Order: sequence, then C-alpha cells, then structure tokens
Amino acid sequence: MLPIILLSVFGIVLLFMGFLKSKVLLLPATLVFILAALATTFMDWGKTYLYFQNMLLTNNLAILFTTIVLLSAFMVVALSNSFIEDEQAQPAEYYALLLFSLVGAIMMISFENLIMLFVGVEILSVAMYVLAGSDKHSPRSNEAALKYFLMGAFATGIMLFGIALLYGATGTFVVSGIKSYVYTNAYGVSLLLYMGIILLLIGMLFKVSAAPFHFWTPDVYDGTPGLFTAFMSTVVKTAGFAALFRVLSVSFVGVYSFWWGTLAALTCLTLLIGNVTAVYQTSFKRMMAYSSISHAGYLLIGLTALGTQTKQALVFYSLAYSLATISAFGVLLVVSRQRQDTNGVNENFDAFNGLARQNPLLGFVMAVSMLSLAGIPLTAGFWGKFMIFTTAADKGIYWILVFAVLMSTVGIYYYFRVIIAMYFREGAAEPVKVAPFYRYVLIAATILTLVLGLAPGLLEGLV
Amino acid sequence: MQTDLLCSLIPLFPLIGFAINGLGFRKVPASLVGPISSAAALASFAVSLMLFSGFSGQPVKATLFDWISVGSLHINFSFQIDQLSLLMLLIVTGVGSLIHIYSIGYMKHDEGFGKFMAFLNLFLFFMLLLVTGSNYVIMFIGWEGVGLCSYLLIGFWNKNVNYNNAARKAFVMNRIGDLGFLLGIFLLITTFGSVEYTDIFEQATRFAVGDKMILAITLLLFVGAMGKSAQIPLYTWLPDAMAGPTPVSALIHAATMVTAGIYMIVRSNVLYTLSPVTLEVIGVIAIATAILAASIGLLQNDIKKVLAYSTVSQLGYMFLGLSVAAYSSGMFHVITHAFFKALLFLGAGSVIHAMSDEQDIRNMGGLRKHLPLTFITFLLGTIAIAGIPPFAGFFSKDEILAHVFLHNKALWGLGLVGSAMTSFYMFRLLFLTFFGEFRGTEAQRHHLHESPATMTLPLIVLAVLSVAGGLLNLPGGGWLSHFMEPLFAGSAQVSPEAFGHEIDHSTEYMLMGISTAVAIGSAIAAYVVYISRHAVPAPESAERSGIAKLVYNKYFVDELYEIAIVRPIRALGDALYNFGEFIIDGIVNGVAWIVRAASAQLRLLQSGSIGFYVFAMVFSIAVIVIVRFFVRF
Amino acid sequence: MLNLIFYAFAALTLGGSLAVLITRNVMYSAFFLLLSLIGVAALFVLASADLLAVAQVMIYVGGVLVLVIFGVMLTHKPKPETTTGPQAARPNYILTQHRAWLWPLLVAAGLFTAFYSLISRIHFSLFEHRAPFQTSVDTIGKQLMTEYIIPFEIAGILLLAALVGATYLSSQGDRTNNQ
Repeated sequence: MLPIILLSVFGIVLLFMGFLKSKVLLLPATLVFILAALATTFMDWGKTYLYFQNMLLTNNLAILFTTIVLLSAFMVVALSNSFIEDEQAQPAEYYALLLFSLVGAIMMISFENLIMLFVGVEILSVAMYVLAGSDKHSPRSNEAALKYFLMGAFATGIMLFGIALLYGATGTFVVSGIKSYVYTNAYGVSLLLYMGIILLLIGMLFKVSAAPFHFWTPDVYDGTPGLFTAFMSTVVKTAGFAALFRVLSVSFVGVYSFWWGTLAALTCLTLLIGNVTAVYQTSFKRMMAYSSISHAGYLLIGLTALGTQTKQALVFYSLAYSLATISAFGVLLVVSRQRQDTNGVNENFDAFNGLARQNPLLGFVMAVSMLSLAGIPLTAGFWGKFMIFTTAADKGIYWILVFAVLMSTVGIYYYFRVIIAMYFREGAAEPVKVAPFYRYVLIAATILTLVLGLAPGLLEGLV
Repeated sequence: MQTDLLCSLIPLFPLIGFAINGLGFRKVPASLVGPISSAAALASFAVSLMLFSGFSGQPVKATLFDWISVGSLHINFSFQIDQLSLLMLLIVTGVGSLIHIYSIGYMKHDEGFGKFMAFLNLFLFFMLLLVTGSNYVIMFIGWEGVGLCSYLLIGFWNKNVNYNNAARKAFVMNRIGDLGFLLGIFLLITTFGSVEYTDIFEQATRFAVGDKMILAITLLLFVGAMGKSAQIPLYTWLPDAMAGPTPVSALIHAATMVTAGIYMIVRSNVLYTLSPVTLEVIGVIAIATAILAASIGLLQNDIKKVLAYSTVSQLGYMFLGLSVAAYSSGMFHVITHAFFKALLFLGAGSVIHAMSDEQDIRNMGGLRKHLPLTFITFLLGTIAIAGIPPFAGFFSKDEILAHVFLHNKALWGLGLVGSAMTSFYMFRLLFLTFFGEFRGTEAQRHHLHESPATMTLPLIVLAVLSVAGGLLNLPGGGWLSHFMEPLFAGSAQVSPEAFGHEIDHSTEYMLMGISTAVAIGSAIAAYVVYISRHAVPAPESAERSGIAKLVYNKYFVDELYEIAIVRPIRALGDALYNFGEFIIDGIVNGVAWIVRAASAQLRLLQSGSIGFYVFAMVFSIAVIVIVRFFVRF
Repeated sequence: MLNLIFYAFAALTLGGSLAVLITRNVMYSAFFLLLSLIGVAALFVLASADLLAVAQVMIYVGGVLVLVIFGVMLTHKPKPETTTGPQAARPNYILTQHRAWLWPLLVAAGLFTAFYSLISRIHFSLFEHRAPFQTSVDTIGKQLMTEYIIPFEIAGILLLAALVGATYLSSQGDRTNNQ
C-alpha cells in the first residue's frame, strides 16, 4: 500500500515546491512521482494482502486497475506541458490535487471496507470539483465546477445512505463480511440490504455517469478545461468501475438475481442515451462526453453479465478506452488552441477539418483513437468490446448483446464524423504545430492502442 | 516446414506496401508508388502460387501465436491453407495484381495517386486476412477491414457530396450485415465454445439436421453475407458504390470483396448443410436478387451501373448454387466471375478513360474503331458472362443451373429467365458502346485513344482467362470439383442425400442446349434492337421526337416492339428500381432519421438547469425503487 | 414521558422542515432549518447517540448553517425596484424564485411512501436487545484511534485537498481583480 502513502507525501512535497521561484521542475517531478508510485504498486504483485486492519486489500486485479489509473494520470500530466505555460497558473496546486485524487482513486480500487470506499470517492471528487473550475476566467468552467459539486454532493449523500443501510442490515462495513452475511442468510436476506445495494449502486453509477444519473456529464465535461476532462473521463471512470466490480463481485454476488435486472435496464438506457444523443452534437467535446456515457454502458454490460471473464474484460476495456480517450483529448487540446475563433477555443467538429493534411501525425493519432473508440478491428477497442460482448453471450443475455451491437453501429456514425472531417474536408491551410514531448506521449498512446489491437493476448494471464 | 513463414508473408507484403505508400504519402516519388504497390501484390501472388504448387491435399494450419483467451475460449492468430483458401488466394492476389498494374495507368494523373495505391494495398491485406484466417474472428477482422477500405475508396473522390453519400450508404448497409455476422459469431462461441473452423466443423457433424441453434447461426451469418455480397434487401449500396474509381469497382465491388459472403458460406458448408431451412431462404433471396438486378440492368444507361447490377445478379446466381448445396459450383462461378467481371469493369474503365470521364452509353457508340483492343477484350468478356459456350461463364453458370434443375424445376426456369436478361443487357451494353455511330461531342471524339499498355495488358490476361476459365471444371466432373471435394466431407457425412445427385448425360446436354439457345437468342434480340433498328435509349429529359424520327420507317414493327417488350420491361425495371431506391433506401434513411430525431429530442433533456437535473435524478431513484420493490413481474 | 419528548422533537423537526419549504424568504428558511436540525440532534440523543448529537449541533448548527446565512447575505444583490419600493423597508427581504412545486411534491410523496412501506416491513435486529443508555464517546474515540485509524488519517488528505482547492479557487480571483 506504499502508493497511497507515497502519493499523499508527494502531493504535499509538490505544494512546497510551489514556493520555489522556478516552476520548471514541477512537471518532471510530478511525472517522477507518479512513476515511483507505479513502481511500488508492483511490489505486491502475485500476492493478496490485507492492509491496515482490513481496510484495504491488494490483489493482481487491483494492481492492474491501479496501473491503468496511474498510466492515464501520467499521460495527462505529460500532456499538461503547454497548458500550464498558457495559463500562467499555479501548476503546483494542479499537480498536488491530481496526486491527491490519485490517492482517492487507488482507495476506490483496493478498498476492503466501505468506509474506505466512501473516503476515496470523496477525495477523488473534491479534487475533481476544483479542477473542473480551474479555468477561472471562463464562466463555463465555473458553472461546471458548481454543477459537478452540487450534484456530486447529492450523489455522495445517497451513497452514504446506502452504506449506512448495508451496515444496518449486516452489522459490518467489510466487503467480505457482507459476502458471508449474504451467504449465511441466503433465503432470508433483510430488505435493508436490498435497499442498501440499490442506493450504493445509484451513488456509484452517478460517478461513472451512467444514465439516468448522467445529467451532469455533458455540462461538466464541456466546461472543464480539456486536460482535466481527459483525466475525469479516464481515471474517475476506471476507479468507479473497479469499485463497482469489487463490491458487486464480492459482496453482492450471492444476490445476483436481485440486482442484475435493474442494472441491465440501466445499462440499456445508458447505451441508448449516450449513443443516440452523441449523434446530434456539434461540439467534439460534448460528443466525447456522450461517448463516455456510452462507454460506461458497455462496461456496465460486463457487470450485468458478471462471470469469470468479467474482470479481464473490464481491465482490457478500461485500458483501451483510457488510451483512446487521452489521445483524442490530446489532439483536441492542440487543435482547439491553434484554431481559436472569436468565441475562444474552437472545440467543434469543424476544428478538425483537413487536419490530416496539415499534420498527418495528429490526424493519424486521432483516427486510431476514433477507430478504437468505435471498436473497429485491429485496435484495442475492438477487443475490449469483443470481450465485453463475450461475457454477455456466455451469460446468455442475448437481448442486451443485440442492443449493444446495434448501439455500437450508431457509435460508428459519430466517431467517423471526426475522421471524415480530418481526411475528407478542406480546412485552414496553416500547419498545426506540436511540441516534441507532447508528440511522444501521443505516439506512445497510439502505438499501445495498435499493439493491444494486434496482440491482445499480452494482458492475458495477468488478471 | 516453411508454410508458416509463407502464410504470414502473403498478407505481410501488401501491409508493407501500404506502410510505405501510406506513411510516405507525398514523399515517395510518383514513379515509384505504382511499382511498389504492384510489386507487393505480385509478391503475394508468387507466394500463393508456391503454396499452391506445394500443396499436398492435406489442410495446413499455421499458428503464428496464441492471440487471446477469454475464459475458456482461445483464439489463435493462425492461417489455414486448404483448397478453399488457396483458390481464394489465387483469385485475390492474381486479379488483385492485375488491377494494381491497371491502376498505375488509370490513376497516374490523380492528385491522390499515392493514397489510392496505399488504400488498395490495405484492402488487399484485409482481404487476404479474410480468406486465410483459420477462425471466424480473423475472418471478421478481415471482413470489417475490407468494409472500411471499401468505404474509404468509394469516397475517394470526396469533392462530390454524392460520392460521400454513396460511401455512407455502403457503410451503413455493410454494418447491418456485420451486425448479423457478429451475433452469429457469438452464437457459435456459446454453442461450440470455439471459433476455430476445424473445431466447429468437427463438432457440427454430431448435430442433427435441422437443429434450431444451427438454424439461428446460419441465418445470422447469412445476414452478414447479404450485406457484403449485396443480396436483397441490402443490395442498393453496390450500384451506388460505383461512385468510386473504376479499378476499385473492378477489384472490390466485382471480383473479390463482394464474393466474401459466398466464401463464408462455402467455408461453413457443414453448418449450412445441417440447416435445410436456411438453404431454402438463401435460394429464394438469391433467385429474387438475380432476376431483380438483371431486370434493372436492362434499362440502365450508365456503363458502370449496368455492370454493377450485373454483379448483383451474378452474385445471386452464386448464392443460388449454394442454396442447392452445389458449393463447388458456386465457387466455380466466383472464379470465372472474377475473371470476366474484372475484365468488363477494366474495359469500361478504359472506355471511360478514352471518353474523358463520360459514363453514359447514350453518348458513346462506334468505339470499336478507336479502341480495338478494349473492344475485343470487352467482347470476349460479354460472351463469357452471357453464357455462350465455350467461354468460362457458360460452364460455371450451366453447372449451377444443372444442380438447380435437379433440385427444383421452377427455380431453374426463373434462373433461365435471368440468364436471358443477362445476355440481353450485356449485348445491349456492348452494341451501344462499340457499334453504330459515335454520339458524343466533337471534343470527345478528338480525344479518343487506346489506353496505355499498363491498362491493356491486364485486359488481355483477363480476356484469356475469361475464355479459358471453363477448363477448370469441365462438365462431368472437372478438376475443380475433385480438388474441392475434401472440403465437403463433413457436409456429405451429415447429409449424404444432399449430395450425390449424379445428373445423367442426356439431361445435361439438353440443359446445356437450352441455356445456350436462350443466351444466343437474347444476344440476337439485342442485336436486332440496337444494331438493326439503331434504337438508342431515350435521354433523361425524354425527347421522344428524336427517336421517333429515327424509327420512322419501321413504325409498325417498332410500335409492336415498344408495346410488347419495351414497355413491360421498362415498367418492371422501373418498379423494381423504385423498390430498391425508395423502399429499401427509405427504410435505411428512415432509421437514420429516427436516430437523429431521437437525438434531437434527447438533447433537449440537457437543459442546463441543476434544479431539473436533481429532480430527474430523484425521479429516477423513485422509479427504480418503486419498480424494483413494488412491481411484481 | 419518553414518548412525549420524542413526539415533541419529531414535531419540531417536521414542522421546521415544512416551514423551510413553505416560506419564500430565504432568510426565514435558513432559520427554520436551524430548528429542524436541532430537532434531529435531540432525536439523536434519544437514540443514545450522544456524540452524534453534539456533532450535529456543532457542525450543522454551528458551522454549516452560519455559512449558509453568510452565503445568502453576501451573494444577494437587491434588485433596484425592491430597494425603492415599500418592501425595501423590511429587513432581510430575500425571496426565492423557484415556484414549481407540483412535480417535486409528487415525486417526494412517491419516494416517501416507498421508503416508508419498505422500512415498516423491515425487521431490525437491534430491536431485540435493548441496551441501557451509555455514552458512545469512549467507544468511538477508541475505534477511531485503533481500527479506523486509516480512514481517520486519510480524511486529513481529503481536508487538505479541499483546503488547497478552496484557497486556489479564491486566491487567483483576487489577483485578476487587482490586475
């Protein structure tokens, strides 16, 4: 559990580094810190440990999710280079908050006690509320922060209510304790438990922006500075699904027949709203917000069809989704800043017109990321969807499978709009420039996406 | 054994070609682009030939690596070399190489030449993956990949909005098909626990004929084939796909990609033999497609549209063959069709090239003097497709019809009608294009020229193949049916009665005679109408007076002809054309419209007011709690 | 006797909450909220959760509510017409604008009936052993320092993050104003 301690300490160290006159050191220091946390994460590889009086539990699955989260954070921080220069802001605070939020994310991934889940969710959320409003000159950003905060606080309250009811039903906060309660009372489980499950689920579904608790997502994603939107849509989602998986697969697997119907209905609603609404958007960022809702839907399929393959599918899908999302936002950040119009940065689809000609590399990165999100073969996204769909087929839930495949067809429509804009439309003639380091990060993400698409077996056996 | 290496080399060459031309777009000199991509295709062809010559008769499976495991399901990245994949390899790389060479001449002056050749190589890569993969997942990856390339290449001349619409329509219809295919794969996984061909077919032989699960699987897979191979109701994208450059039409939309559906069914022949109901369905759809597309083709005036509808119709014949379990006959027609349809498209490309991008046959005529080589090869292709002996198309179509005859006389009669129409529209096309007087503008006449050698050479090769292709499988047990026999061992085992119908020689000769007579009769009819009577289809604006003047002298005969033949055919053709254009496209567009409308409505939910959001959340919670705890269902 | 006290405080809580909803004046609703929160604190005492009751009073009544009142007063900008009209003479006249009540009422009523009928069906295991009144402060204190030491400490990170965020969000605003 070194990463949690390390990241907390590093966050405080970063705050002190903010006092230094020179701010050059901050970015490399943050990257080093995240790498250090990543390295220490693997110290527990292959073993299952309980930490701090049954508060946290690490196993290989938790380590993999932690790796995805830290990797995403690493890339987001690496892409923050030009952002920080532009804003002349206080990067020390940004980075410290990012590290704190990672502490929360790791706790959400490896909690064994529901209190830790709650505290983790809160740390992650509080940091996100602030980062959503970090662009203080923009009313949109302020609005996003306020909306996220108000609705997030509301959802947290519901989740807490759920945890309390669970405690009332089982007399314990410990995940495996709830499991043994469920098994010993297989025929007479208290109604309190059921209500607790529903409310806890609702609270968590809000965090991963599943319908009908998704309303905050488009507004918040749209208003938040692009970099932090990338962070939000990858780290928060991965951690949220890791938490959902742990609580559902350990504690509540005994009452699967109770919750799967509700979850299945919400899954379909999420897929429908995410995919269909994305079609109409003119802003790329809003489209990505709806796309993130739809991907929450695909991940939920894995949970609805909870089985032996679910964890592998979730890990793979989260990784594929995070890589593609970060590179998409990376390209958006460059393009939107260089294609400014009178309203400020241009985040619409037309900002990408002719990008493939002005900067073939960025065009390619974006194309691969869109193909991966759309689930076209030979990208990581295809295998993610394939595994998720296989879990549903294995469980025999065919109607959800048919629905999801239909919806993914709708998805292709809006992802391809970007590709069409980049390759088939004429755009402004001036070339789009990218800083070298920025380029390496994007290339790395794209290569990873392609490698996972060509050889998805690489992750196999790790889970 | 070196087979592993050779197998991986086949798709690797085009991929390298794609990488060089794609990444080095605008950097690779234009003179090198063509040779590089053609060399990639030729190298694959050479390797395929080596594999073919060294083939022992036993299927070889080359596992490159263990790809992925999902639970108990293992998916290998492996190639399977057997009779079927060898045949497809030879077609794809052989015809593919010729079309690559042809493209050098055809596309050289285009601004995006490098991009075009790169896409062609990418297409070849995915197509090779499709035909050599040893399991359904690799086939699906190739399947999606060729769809993607087809989409990119149809929209290649993207300046025009119509072209983009055509590309989008092709994409949507293919996606509908892919949906079926994908669901079929998941059903296969749950039924057999594997996606590997050998595992599935070995297990399938233990199923009873008419099994419900197999029925569902085969129907879903056939939906995939419908999309890719343009069968009713998913055929309207193929004629529209002619918006792409002509080599693309020849390679993707005639010779290779569109036959992927037939390949898939031949590959899964055990499953289809197990499900007679599916075969019946295929038969009905196939004959309907064959006749519908042929009758539309009778009245088209765009040289490429005629060929496109002809392709749809010929694909219908191939499926017709499959529907009576004559799998090898279906494959035989795939092969000969690849030869003569590629030839016809490339010939059409040569004409279009000479006519400065004119595609309307009403503005052509008399071209045989100006394009002698194109004319001769086009003539040979026409004879081949019309089914006049001893050219390739005769043997393959006749074999299908003979099998159909044994199975169902009514289907055979309909097939014969379609074959008459085929012969008619092809000769109509030939006569209108190459005979009579030149009807184009002076500028076009001035510009008329025979195409360069890079374009005529492939024409000659393909013409030779179209003439001699029938030798592959002469009636009465030719080489091809013996060669492919091991593929159908499983089918023969599960349902011996589906095979083994030996047709006796007198019937066979009679059938041959009938179809030859029908084909020649149609050709003569076309000759009478378009050469003797100089009929030229009315222009779009229907200026009847010009034609009336032209046919003034033979008024009575023409009147009769008009009433008895032209009007019914026109009415039928128009009706069927409208069926495709408005009903099917209408449904597809309607679905798209519904999605957009729903999107517009759902978007309004996003009002931006926190009060409403919180209210919606509480409302949802209330609904969930009430539905979950208080509603019994 | 105990029942009488219980019902009195329950009535206080409910009445306070209702008044919060009914009054249109934001200042009044803040004060009614105070009544309601105090009622809840008293109910906690009756449920022998004394620490919770104290915390309730300290945090909500002492902290949060004061913040709310400050917030309302600081963000309120009187409209020109109200400053001149006869109502301007009345102090603290701050009205809410939100008037839609039918749908929220329906949903709230539905949710309430749902929860109520569920809770009335539930069998609480704690009903069986009636524990004598004892203070929970000791137990909670021990628990916080032993079993729950990690959540307790990690909550420090949470507060730190919130603090950093708060200073960050407020600090730069001043700087831009000065520029």
